[in-house]
Amino acid sequence: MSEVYTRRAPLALGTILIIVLILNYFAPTLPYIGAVASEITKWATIIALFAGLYAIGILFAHNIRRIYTRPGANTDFMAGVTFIGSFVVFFACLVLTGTGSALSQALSTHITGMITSTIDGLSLFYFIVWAYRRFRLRGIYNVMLIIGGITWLMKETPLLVYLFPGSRTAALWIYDTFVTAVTRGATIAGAVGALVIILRTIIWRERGILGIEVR
Amino acid sequence: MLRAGGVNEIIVLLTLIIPMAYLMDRARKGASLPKLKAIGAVDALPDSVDRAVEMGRPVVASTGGFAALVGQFASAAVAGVRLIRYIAKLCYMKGARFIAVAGQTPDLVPYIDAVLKEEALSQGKPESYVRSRDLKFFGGAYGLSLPELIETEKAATYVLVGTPYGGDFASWESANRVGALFIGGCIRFGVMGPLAMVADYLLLMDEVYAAGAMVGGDKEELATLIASDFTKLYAILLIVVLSILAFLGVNISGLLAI
Repeated sequence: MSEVYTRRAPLALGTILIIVLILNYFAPTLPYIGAVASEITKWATIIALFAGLYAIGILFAHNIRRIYTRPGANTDFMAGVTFIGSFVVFFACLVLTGTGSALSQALSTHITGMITSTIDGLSLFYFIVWAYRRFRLRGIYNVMLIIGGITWLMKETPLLVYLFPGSRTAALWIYDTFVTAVTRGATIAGAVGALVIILRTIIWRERGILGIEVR
Repeated sequence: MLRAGGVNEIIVLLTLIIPMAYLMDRARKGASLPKLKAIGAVDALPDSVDRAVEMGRPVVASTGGFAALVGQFASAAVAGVRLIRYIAKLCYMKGARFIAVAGQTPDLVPYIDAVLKEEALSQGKPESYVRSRDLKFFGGAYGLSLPELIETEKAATYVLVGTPYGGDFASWESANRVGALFIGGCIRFGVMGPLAMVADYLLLMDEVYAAGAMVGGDKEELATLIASDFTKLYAILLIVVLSILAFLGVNISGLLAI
């Protein structure tokens, strides 16, 4: 496969930095290691901020294009206007009055906060509809889930606890034994998987993040 | 010099590094490797893209709302993007439209953008990927915008692999409403149950990480995957032995603090 981009220098730098951080984790008493690791972490945050700025640039360009695309096309015109308009208003307020000003706080609480709450509220109704429509018994996973769900429901419902006094104890036992054990097993399996990805990244074999040029 | 518990942690690391080095060496020399179990969800990916081509509808893929390049879900985000790379490659090769959705934080946007651009170029079809059309970022509105995208685009296949959260649930119903094939994968314990109920094909926990290496088909990558079984075996051994010792009254906390 042909090489598209070359990124060997950042890869080498990344590998060295990860090794330093691993050393800091296992042997924090080594001379200077703590200071170097702290400095690396700060720089990682700075570099991540640049990635975020690049993403904002992409979004800005995309939304300006949405507004100026030829008439008649499916341009999501209003979405673009909303994005750019909101950006200009919020940016102007933050720059002119400061992030801690009453105006900035009010804009955040009464506009962003209210919209977020509305979205969450709508999502709640949608989730209920979804849960009802998608409820079905299909395979061993679903059977297990429904048994667990019904048992938990019995524990949480006072009337059912009154009618079936052992249901609360049974639900707690299931949670404290089966669920806890499965959670631990799943955590171990997931952690090993994550570790493999990290090691592959260190040795330049993780193509998800490295691309196709290092083959 | 080592921190408390460091010896045990290094042993865990070595149970992964030593088999990994050995198996990668074998792979490099062309020797045989232990066989991997087939994962249904991975095998279904090419068919799901064929389905999109036949129906003339797009493939939509997301890494989940919690996907980000920092924090505890970073490795799952990488695994999710790995699958996005593979699906994009299949789509561009076979002529299906592919739409990728980044999570709620913007740091994945440039990353996925680079991945899709690379794949379109490597397939000799740079026109297949148009950033403003094929890469979506919804920020805080992710939970409602993703279902809207799936329904307006009438996705033929919906792939959600990485770190889904509660806000992803609605998109599963949207996929159902438009008749999309749904391939789901999750590393978050709380989401696995609901996902298992609705997904047509499922990836759970380390299968999410394994899928990325399996689709690559590269023997050295597969070797790293097989090596992880040794660490799991060690964990099982440790659990059994320490449980027996604990029942016998041995102070296992002291042993693990070495």
